[in-house]
Amino acid sequence: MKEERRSARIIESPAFRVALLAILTALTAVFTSVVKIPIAPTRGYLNFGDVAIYFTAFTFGPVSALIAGGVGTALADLLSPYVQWAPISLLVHGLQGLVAGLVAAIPWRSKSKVFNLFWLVAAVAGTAVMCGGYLAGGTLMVGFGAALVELPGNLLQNLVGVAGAIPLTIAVRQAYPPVTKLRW
Amino acid sequence: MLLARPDQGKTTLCRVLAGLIPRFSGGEIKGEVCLGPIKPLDQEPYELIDQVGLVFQHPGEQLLTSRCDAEVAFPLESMGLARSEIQQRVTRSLQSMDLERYRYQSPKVLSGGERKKLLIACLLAVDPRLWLLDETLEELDRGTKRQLLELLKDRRRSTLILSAKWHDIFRKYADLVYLMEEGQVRPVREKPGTRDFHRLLLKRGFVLPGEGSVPDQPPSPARAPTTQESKTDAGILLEARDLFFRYEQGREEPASPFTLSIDRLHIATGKVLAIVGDNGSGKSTLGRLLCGLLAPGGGEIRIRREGVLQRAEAQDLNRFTGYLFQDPDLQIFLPTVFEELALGLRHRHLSREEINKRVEKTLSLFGLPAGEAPPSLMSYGARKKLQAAVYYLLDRPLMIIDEGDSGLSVDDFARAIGIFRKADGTVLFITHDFRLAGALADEVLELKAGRFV
Amino acid sequence: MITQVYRKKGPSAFHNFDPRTKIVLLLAFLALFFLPIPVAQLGIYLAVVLLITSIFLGIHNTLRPIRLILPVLILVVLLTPPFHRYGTVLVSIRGFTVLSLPGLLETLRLIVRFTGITVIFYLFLGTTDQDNLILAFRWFGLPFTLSLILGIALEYIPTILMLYNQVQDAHRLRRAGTEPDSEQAPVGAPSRTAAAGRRSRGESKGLFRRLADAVPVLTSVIVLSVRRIPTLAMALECRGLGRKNRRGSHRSLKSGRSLLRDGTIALVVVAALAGSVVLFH
Repeated sequence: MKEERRSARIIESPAFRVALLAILTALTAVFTSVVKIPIAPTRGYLNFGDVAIYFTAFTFGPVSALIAGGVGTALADLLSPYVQWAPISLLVHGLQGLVAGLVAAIPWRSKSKVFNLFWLVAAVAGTAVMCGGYLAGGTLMVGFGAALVELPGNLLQNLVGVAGAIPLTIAVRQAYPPVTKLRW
Repeated sequence: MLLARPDQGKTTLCRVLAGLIPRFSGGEIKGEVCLGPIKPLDQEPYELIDQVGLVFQHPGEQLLTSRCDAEVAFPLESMGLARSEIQQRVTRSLQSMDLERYRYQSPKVLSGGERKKLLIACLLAVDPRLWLLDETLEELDRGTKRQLLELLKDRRRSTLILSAKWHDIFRKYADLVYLMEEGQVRPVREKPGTRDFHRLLLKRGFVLPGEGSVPDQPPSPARAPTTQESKTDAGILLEARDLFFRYEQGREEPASPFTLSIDRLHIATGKVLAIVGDNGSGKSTLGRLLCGLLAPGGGEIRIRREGVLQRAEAQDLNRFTGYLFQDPDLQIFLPTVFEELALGLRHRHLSREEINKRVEKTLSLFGLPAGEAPPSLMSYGARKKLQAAVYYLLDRPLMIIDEGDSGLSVDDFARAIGIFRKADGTVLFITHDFRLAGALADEVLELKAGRFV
Repeated sequence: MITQVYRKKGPSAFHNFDPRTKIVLLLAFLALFFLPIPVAQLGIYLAVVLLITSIFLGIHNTLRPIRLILPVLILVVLLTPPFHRYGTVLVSIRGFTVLSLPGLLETLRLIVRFTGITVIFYLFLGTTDQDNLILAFRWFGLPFTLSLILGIALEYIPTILMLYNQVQDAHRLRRAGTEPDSEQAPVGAPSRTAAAGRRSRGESKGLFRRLADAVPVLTSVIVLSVRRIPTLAMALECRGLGRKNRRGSHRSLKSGRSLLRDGTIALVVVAALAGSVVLFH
């Protein structure tokens, strides 16, 4: 009991939160930039960024997913040839992480621990936000037609994201149990 | 001074004294730490930075910023000092540690020793009452060691130096020496520099036989490096000829990049070969060439398969060798020790009983805890042993161990090599510890600037 | 800041321009390209932007981003007209309007806009270094904590990337010999190793199979990264993060004459843009 309290306190320390968010952001940026399987020429490639965002949302909670997802993908854009997408990535992926994180956090709060269902619902919500967001942002940047053509790619991106994030969440929790104490 | 072998808790002790543990690690603590009236365990570490300063063992873990001057300035900013004060202190610290020319550069371009100097500069700028130096003096050349020790003596700063080895230079500066073993700290009564002192350190393993009072330079190993006499073909497991390698030129590479050039290398079947050299000598590069992680720019490697020496491509080498990275955590990902060990066996279509049997045997052979604990929560030393055990079960003809002695006690390391040897394996281990190489290997080869000496 | 794409050039006058005023200019030009003004006028603004970028970054660096977005522009050309088939018909096939005048104009507008936005971002990021950029954000109100997260994340990206490559190598070596050759290809950017050339064989592997193979590697990477969090937090508290006193600062962007000069220039430019918009409306 006392140990749990101390651990709960440590997550409130500013230094710990900065460290947590910085590393998760870097992780998301690396996941986003590392895999490059070209699909839709407009956005570029199928990447593991959404795996990282959903994983962060499921494991670390909505705020972590908001910051790591938004800033992480924006940084990945800034370090790639697609810099002009950075502001949109910041907004869209940030929101995606936030929404997915909020939904996935519900079982934690109600202590029911029936995760899988909420993970899937979170993924659907996140997908809607991401695809909708890129459709809107894309329309501003390259027009509706070109933005629409990206939609199937983005859907696939999210499908891969969830398909990867769920086993990853379980595997990380099993390989490193203390990770469950790092959510907020 | 506090001497302790690797993995005995030096870093944990430092962090307790700085109030960082159990704050960030969880766990139970009893007792008190008093720095005069101040009790680090009852306060937040950030309130104590002018009282206690800590230099981490691995600089990479402590560096935060993208410029050297910003790095030194960071704690001063936290303290809320005036800008002119901050700038003065930064300049003075950088100059003292001879790092002024790196002021605007990223700490990442500094070498290992220079990074440690930068961390010392950070502490210098804050100038706390107590300095905790966790293995800081390793990797510093003799001149810098002396400079630092003189500086601390001048300023009358209380300093705790933690080290895994005794360096002769400490004799002049160490007022008190402690040994830490099995979680206990004991003061050393023998006076540094005396024969009794030396004998005690020898007995406890902080000094290896043959060291005497010749410090800080690689002495001749217990066995002189043997030249590779031409052996009959039959005894050779792996042969490399005219091996040449050069790293690709990055944009910031110096004019003459490092090259590795080996005329001839034989590894005899069933023997233990050690490759020694300082940082930058190319020993890790050689290890990576031999396991197929890197492709040579020239020359060839031949391995014994089906009784004959055959030319080997990278993939052949991947399968032929077991390469134990210095960091054991790179390939650990499963929830239990049992599953990690069983993973390699599963593809061989063995029965479950057979797998269980082999895993149990390996657990006891390597002294690993019973199979249900998550490996990530074991101590570093235990994880290194797990890594060795995983590779033992993979049963590859040649084991290449990269700096395996860091993190493992000499005994554990020797035992691991013994186990591989007993299983008719051949071992090549890479180290910068000349004496260790001499003590444990059948043959020692020294690499310097990419060539055998 | 764009490390992968750019050849370093400078320092030009624009490199030394105050980053805060650069942000103002960036926003002004971005807004400009979204205004409902005639395409021809937008085209002129684009030409101005291209000219400025060529001056400060060189022609090579100006053409580079354009070359990179060419596929996108082609898509715009192909996919915009179908959604704007009203108005004066320009091209029709068997009575089916393929291209109309509004469609053409909209296509041109989008091309000009996207090119303009791209080049502006490149100009901005290619002439500003990371530290000054973060200082500028802070001046505009970015909280210190967020700027710290940003800065440290940037420092840790190469670390985690290196970790990823090492983990990939380690897993691959451990798996060696347990699978047939063609399945050895891991997911991800090839590390600079011998087998890189052989990876192409593995691309035939199904997407979900590759995903499944990636999970062990990614698990190791995540666990290794997460384990560094407490250590990083310790490092931060050792450097005083969390203290209640007001934080000092070692350096900040120069205020005074240079800011006044750059600020005035920026204001003049923005005024000129606004003026030209109104004038030709």
